[in-house]
Amino acid sequence: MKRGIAILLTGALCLGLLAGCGNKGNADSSSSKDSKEGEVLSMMLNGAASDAYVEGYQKLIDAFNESNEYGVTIKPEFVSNSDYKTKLTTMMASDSEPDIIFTWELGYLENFVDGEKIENLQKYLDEDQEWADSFNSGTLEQETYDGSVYGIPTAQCMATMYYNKGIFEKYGLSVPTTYDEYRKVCDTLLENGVTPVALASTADDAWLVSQYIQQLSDGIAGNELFEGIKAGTKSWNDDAMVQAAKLFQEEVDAGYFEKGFTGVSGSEAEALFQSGQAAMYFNGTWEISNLNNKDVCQVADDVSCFTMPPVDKVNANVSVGSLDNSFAVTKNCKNVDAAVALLKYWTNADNAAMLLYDYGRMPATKFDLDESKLSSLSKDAITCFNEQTALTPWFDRMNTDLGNEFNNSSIAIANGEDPQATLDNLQKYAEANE
Amino acid sequence: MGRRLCGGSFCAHNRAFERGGSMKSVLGNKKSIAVFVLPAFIIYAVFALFPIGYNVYMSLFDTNLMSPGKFVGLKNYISLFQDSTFTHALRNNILMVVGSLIAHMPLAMFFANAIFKKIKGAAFFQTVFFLPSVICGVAVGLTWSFIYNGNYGLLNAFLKLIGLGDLQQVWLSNKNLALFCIIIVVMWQYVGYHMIIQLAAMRNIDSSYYEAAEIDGATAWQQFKSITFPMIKPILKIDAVLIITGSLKYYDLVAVMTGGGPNHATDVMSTYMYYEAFNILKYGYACAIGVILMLLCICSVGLSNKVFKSEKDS
Repeated sequence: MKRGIAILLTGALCLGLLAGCGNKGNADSSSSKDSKEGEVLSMMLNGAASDAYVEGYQKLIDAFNESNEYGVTIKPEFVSNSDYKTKLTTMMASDSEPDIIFTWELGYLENFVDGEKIENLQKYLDEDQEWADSFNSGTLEQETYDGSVYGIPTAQCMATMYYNKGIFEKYGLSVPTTYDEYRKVCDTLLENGVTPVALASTADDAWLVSQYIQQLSDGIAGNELFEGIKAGTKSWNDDAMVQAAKLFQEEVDAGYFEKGFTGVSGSEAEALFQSGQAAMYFNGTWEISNLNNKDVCQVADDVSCFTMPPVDKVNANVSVGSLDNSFAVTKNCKNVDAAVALLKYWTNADNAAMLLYDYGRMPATKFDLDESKLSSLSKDAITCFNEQTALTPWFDRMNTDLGNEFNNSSIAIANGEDPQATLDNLQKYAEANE
Repeated sequence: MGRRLCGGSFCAHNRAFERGGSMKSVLGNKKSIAVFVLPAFIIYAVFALFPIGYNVYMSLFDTNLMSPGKFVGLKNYISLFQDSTFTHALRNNILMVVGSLIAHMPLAMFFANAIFKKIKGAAFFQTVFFLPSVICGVAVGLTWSFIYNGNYGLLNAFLKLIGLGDLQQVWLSNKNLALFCIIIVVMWQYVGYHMIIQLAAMRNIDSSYYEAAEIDGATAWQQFKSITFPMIKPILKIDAVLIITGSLKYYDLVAVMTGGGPNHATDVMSTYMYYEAFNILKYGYACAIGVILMLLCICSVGLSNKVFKSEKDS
């Protein structure tokens, strides 16, 4: 009897093993066209199943697979943002990276270009001048190293302050145009028991805090501060940055962010805004498709956005922002022509239109806008975007090492550390790791 | 029948071989021993020895594994000890070792002894104490993250209930308290595991010792001090090594509960190693951390041997 039970339990455990083996194949690729003749190119993109734009990208890839003249099939794999860096780094180190990869610009892609893992795409742009000219100014430059372009941006983005029109109307608030007005808006909301701004600051989402501080610093010292830090002529503990950090701490102490925000994750903070519990939410324009989606966002009809007003009027319309969703072709790719064809297809006018109107992705290419097709949030976002005079990319894109440490320092500041001391430490670290 | 070797201690040995015919040809022949050990040894060499060797080799380079690495000798190690984040991580690890030793030695021994003495409900407590150690580390981390949560966590709610509402905070974001919160979870999770190990050792003690002690009128504490404790010392030695190396290598709880944050406050060596390798792409530096971790674990074996030396060993 005992032996029978033992055998039964062992058998059940073994079945458990087999259950794990069976399902591996279905997890990543949703394209069912594997039986096609042509070769298959693997592609890794950034997106979680909960991101609404993933659907748009999948449609685009399926359409390309059906219609491309090279007969290749693109096999996409979507990896969530928090896992993406680790996954790509591991694949790069073991030489198993996919053929086409999502990448961030500036310092991030430079790591891999220096490691000789990325194909040089300059000649494709030289051959197709029309394609090269279709890109907005300032976009291709961020993925140009040593005079050659290595990455193709498919969208642009900026960090903007989303707000709930309904809540603003309820308390008679209008969109602030100066920093003092912004503070007054937050104070009014607080007095009425509404959380002014939803913010997250767990270790994985540290960049959400650092983009807020960076936005404040843009308002204090404009574009020059970012460019100076990038070139090494200005330091991380520059007075302007310290002032931005101090202002942020003032806002924290005043209670503008939700209670216990230091332990809140990115998705929780967004949920706070989406359920109408917070009046404002500071994040990138890539969130538009999520915020427009009524299934996810209960206040979808009431969302609009404004540019965070600068502390110093002279620096109006300098915001955190950059490219979005860039792709690079790796040296593992056997058919670079086909890969470039995909990128051209992705950035052509029709697809740029589809991605903009349906999923709120602002194109990186010049584009004739049909305002009637835009959701109201997209329209507001594009208006903000077009008003910007300068965009400062996120620090962790500019430099992987120092950018990550800036994110960590931002968390320390959010938790009440002295801004001057924290930034001094960061500067020391930067100098030690020259 | 077999060859007669020279006399002395070899003789008895050889005669045993002669009695068990085929065993002689296997155990006596060094080549056969090698053949049987070889498969396991190959697997061990490929999956453990070679990676360790390569890791030590890589720690002498400055590399991101994509471009050819630059040989820098011991520079990584020197930088490590000047790196305040690393020394802080080392300090965190040592705190974790101390915390684990407190919970998993004396406390586990107390529970083990209580169950050994068959208090009421011993079997029930044995199961209940052991259960946390079989739950997967990530699940434990997530559960306790929710307990420690600032807004809707159990701990804050409990404090409010008993009138200590002022002590409420976002536990895992407090750079001074977060590590201790994690250490408490480690202590809770594995106390049962070590209790079972010590309990098994205690059950191996011959009950005649206790009977003799009863007759002599020894109290429970005297019995423990003079019989139980000395006789489980060899097991305690092994247990101590398990506790120390486990605490030095700890990864899953820290990674899940705080990610090493806020701002490296709860970073331990393994999470810092992961951060340096996969976020900053400094693989050589990360390998150096790995080597130091390995050396510390080896030292802990020596230390444990020394502390728990009993008559049997000498």
